[in-house]
Amino acid sequence: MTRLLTRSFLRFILRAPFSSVSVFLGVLLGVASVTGVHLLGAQVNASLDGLRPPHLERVTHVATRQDLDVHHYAELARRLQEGSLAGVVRLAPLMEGTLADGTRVVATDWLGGGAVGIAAGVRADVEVDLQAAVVRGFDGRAEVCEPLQVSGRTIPVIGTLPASELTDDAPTLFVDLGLGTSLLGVDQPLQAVLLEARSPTQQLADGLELLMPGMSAGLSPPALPLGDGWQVHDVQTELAGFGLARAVLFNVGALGSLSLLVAVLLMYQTCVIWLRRQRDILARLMDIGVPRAALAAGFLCALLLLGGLATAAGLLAGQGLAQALLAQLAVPTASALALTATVVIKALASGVLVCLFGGVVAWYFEWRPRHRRVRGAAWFTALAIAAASGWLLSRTDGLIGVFAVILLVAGLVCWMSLPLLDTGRRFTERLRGSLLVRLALREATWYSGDLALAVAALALALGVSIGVGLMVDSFRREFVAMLDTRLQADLYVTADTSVADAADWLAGQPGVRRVALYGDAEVRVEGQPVSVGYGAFDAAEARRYGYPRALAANEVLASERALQALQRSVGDVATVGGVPLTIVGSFPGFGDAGLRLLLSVDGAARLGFAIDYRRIGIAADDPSSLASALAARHPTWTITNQQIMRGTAIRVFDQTFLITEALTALAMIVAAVALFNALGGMRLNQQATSELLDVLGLNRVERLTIDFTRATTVGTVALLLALPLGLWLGWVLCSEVNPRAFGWRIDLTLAPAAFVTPLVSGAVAVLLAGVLGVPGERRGRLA
Amino acid sequence: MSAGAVRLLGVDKAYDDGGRKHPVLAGFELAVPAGERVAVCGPSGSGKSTLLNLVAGIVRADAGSVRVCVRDDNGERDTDVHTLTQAAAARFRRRHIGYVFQFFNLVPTLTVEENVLLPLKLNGRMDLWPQSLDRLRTLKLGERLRAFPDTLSGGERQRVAIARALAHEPDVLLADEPTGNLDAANSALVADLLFGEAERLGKTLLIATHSGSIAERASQRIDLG
Repeated sequence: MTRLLTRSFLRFILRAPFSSVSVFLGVLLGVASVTGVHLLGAQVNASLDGLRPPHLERVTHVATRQDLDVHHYAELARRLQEGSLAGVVRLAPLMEGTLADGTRVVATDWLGGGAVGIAAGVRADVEVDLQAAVVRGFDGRAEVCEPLQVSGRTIPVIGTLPASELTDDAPTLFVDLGLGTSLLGVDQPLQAVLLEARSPTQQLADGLELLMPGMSAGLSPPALPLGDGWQVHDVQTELAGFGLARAVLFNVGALGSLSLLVAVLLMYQTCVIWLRRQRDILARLMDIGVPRAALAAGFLCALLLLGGLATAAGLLAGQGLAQALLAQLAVPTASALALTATVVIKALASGVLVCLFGGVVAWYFEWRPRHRRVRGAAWFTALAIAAASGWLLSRTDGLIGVFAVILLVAGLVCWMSLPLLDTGRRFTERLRGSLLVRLALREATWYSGDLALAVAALALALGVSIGVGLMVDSFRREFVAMLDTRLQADLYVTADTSVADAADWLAGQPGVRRVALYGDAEVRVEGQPVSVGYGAFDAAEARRYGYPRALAANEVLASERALQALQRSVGDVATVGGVPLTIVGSFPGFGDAGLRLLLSVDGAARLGFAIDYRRIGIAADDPSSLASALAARHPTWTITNQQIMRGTAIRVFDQTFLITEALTALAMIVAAVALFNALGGMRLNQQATSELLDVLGLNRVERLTIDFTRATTVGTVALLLALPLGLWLGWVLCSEVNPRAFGWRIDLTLAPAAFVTPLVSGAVAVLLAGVLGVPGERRGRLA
Repeated sequence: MSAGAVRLLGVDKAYDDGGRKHPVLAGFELAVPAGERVAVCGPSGSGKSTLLNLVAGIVRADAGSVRVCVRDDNGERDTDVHTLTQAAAARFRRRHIGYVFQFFNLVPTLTVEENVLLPLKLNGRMDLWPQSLDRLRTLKLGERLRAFPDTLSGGERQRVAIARALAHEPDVLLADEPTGNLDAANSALVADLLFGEAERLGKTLLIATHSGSIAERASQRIDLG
């Protein structure tokens, strides 16, 4: 029976080639978007995993405390053995430091479980020796088993770890804690205790990560209380760039799902149209005893067959999309991205979800008893959902909470399309003016069931496009403003060695107006790694970071990320290396994945830093000549012109948002197809009226007036929904998503430019959908 | 010919039926003097609707000529409907033809008043609205002017359709089985109305029907098939 009915439904679907192609295209693009984003995320994740420091392999948390020493670690180890550290399966102490020759030393307890990632570098034919090192970044100076001369000492080498091309790795020795203490000195404190914890939340995060790369960034890190005095951070604090990249992936993943959501609406709308056309036949079949369940099964099977083909095509299209986006983002990839079982299953699940959800919901609503819609209840429910969203937004602190709210509000907007069109009906019934306009307006609002979800799809795509556009535009403005303020010098120099000696020579060059020296140091503040920049922070220098006065020795400027991570505000005190510093200002560190503090050179000296300038900013009348002269004197230095630096920064910024544009464009295409399909379907359903008007002698212009008015009405309703959604989404992205994901807040700017592209493309989509005829539109006779 | 006269000469019309030509009219000849009321009879598929559609310029003959004498601002003239472009045929229908169907006669999203106003607005003949309004009142539709078609009975819908077909005072009134969907009482009412108004206004009426009683009221009867 089901096979027979499936065949019957398939024949019907194939005889409606336009809507079938629309559905095929919608599922294809939805699956392509999800698959493409998954492959892209998996590739970025793989690249990130390749960059993960080996001593942090499988580490989930980092614990620190004031005056941390080996006794504290031993106490934790004892508690672990006793089983009183819930969820913790492994821990290791971490000692880091830099030798006089610049070699970095990372020491962990190899016997106590600190060698998990490091062991991968040990040669198979070599026995582990606690007095030997595994090395990285020695550029061939370290041959396996040949001792290495470091700071006057001979260190046996038992393995090498590959250096990363993407990180600026100093030569590093990975050693056991004993050798580390010996190399760095007995006074060297422990920096942290590394923990590997397994908890249901962690397993959920891992599962989600498999489902959608980057999704774990959406969860608030699971808390791991160790007791009094301990501060426990998620390992992401050690891998700031990873957290940032995963947050980007999460955002992109959420945006990638938009096309799938729009495809569900397209499927639903098309199913409604198909079922309406088949309603009489289906009713007769039920009258003669065909079970409704069998009819539903046949309908869904036919949808799944069509959806299955589209899914297969979407999978391949997604692979191409990922490849193209990765090429644009300059992420290193294998020649062809692998379609793993996870990707195939995810694509299939996405395709099946679109078909089943769209089909089942359409079937349910087509056959349920019809009631008069209660508009008051609809508006009340809308208010309730809006209130619930606000409450949820205020109660959650992770990204998933925000996106749950976004999904809720997006669902609300979709659902509101129906009561809004119904409200329009009451208005158009009393309308005066041109008869043809009245007719078109009423057609658009009376047959809300034929159009509502397509309108919702368009509103959703438009709203997201406006919201994302507003955020990107606001972000770009702030980014450019930051560059304008920050890039005061004409030339920037970075070097591997001290640049202090060049200062006098530079100051003596003709046309040089200012020479500023900068140095950097890495410290831990409350257990979290912080990059500290120092220099002569006079008033001019401080103004680059939005602070009007010179920095005193006890004052510090903090990046927004640092303020968020350290849970401080401007005016608070942060203790750095035991020295209290007042945070007098904050600055947006866009693109800076880590936490950053800025202080004067006096302040740096107060903290006991060895002042070592590695960067110079130069203001000069003739930067080109000076750059040439400088390059001749110091060929190994990197000298960058301000204009080039600015251009590169803006290009990288724009490149970052290419993927956003691509995904919103995909969603817009699916929405346009949905609307084209719905308007075409409506025109077919109104064929009798159309033919009557033909008989009455309507000319082409008058017909176009009707089509245009109908399309404009639909577009206006979509716009009425999309504008508030877009504005709200722009605000949420700037004020909630950005601070939660990246640690910086963006002031929302309502620039007209952010509206232009979505509105113009939306208008074009609506007008084309409204005015273009549906291929295969049949003309029958009236009678 | 005077305004309203219809003449078909050697008209051939066939429909494509799955790649095979299915002839409906072959060498068909018809001459209807102005003001005549003609019943077009015949079994289903004999070409009754096709004949009316040919006269209205909705379908085009494969061969022959379809001439309708119409009156416009320049006086009376013969129009060869067969040679009109699509746009010209639409203009011709708009001005000179009134059409009543069996089903789907009214635009569902326009009220009774608006449905009747539509041909007047399209022709720029709002001066005829008072007569149309009188006609609607005569047809007992004066209280239903603001009603939408889905709230009307079948008989009421056909009365509105006739009022709309007559509103712009067309030269030719075409009715395609207008009583086919009505009970006996309403059929009689609609037939009275069509024949009565056509006679009163001196309009040519071509009515396709299966009903013998309606055919008997016509001044001329054409049997197809």
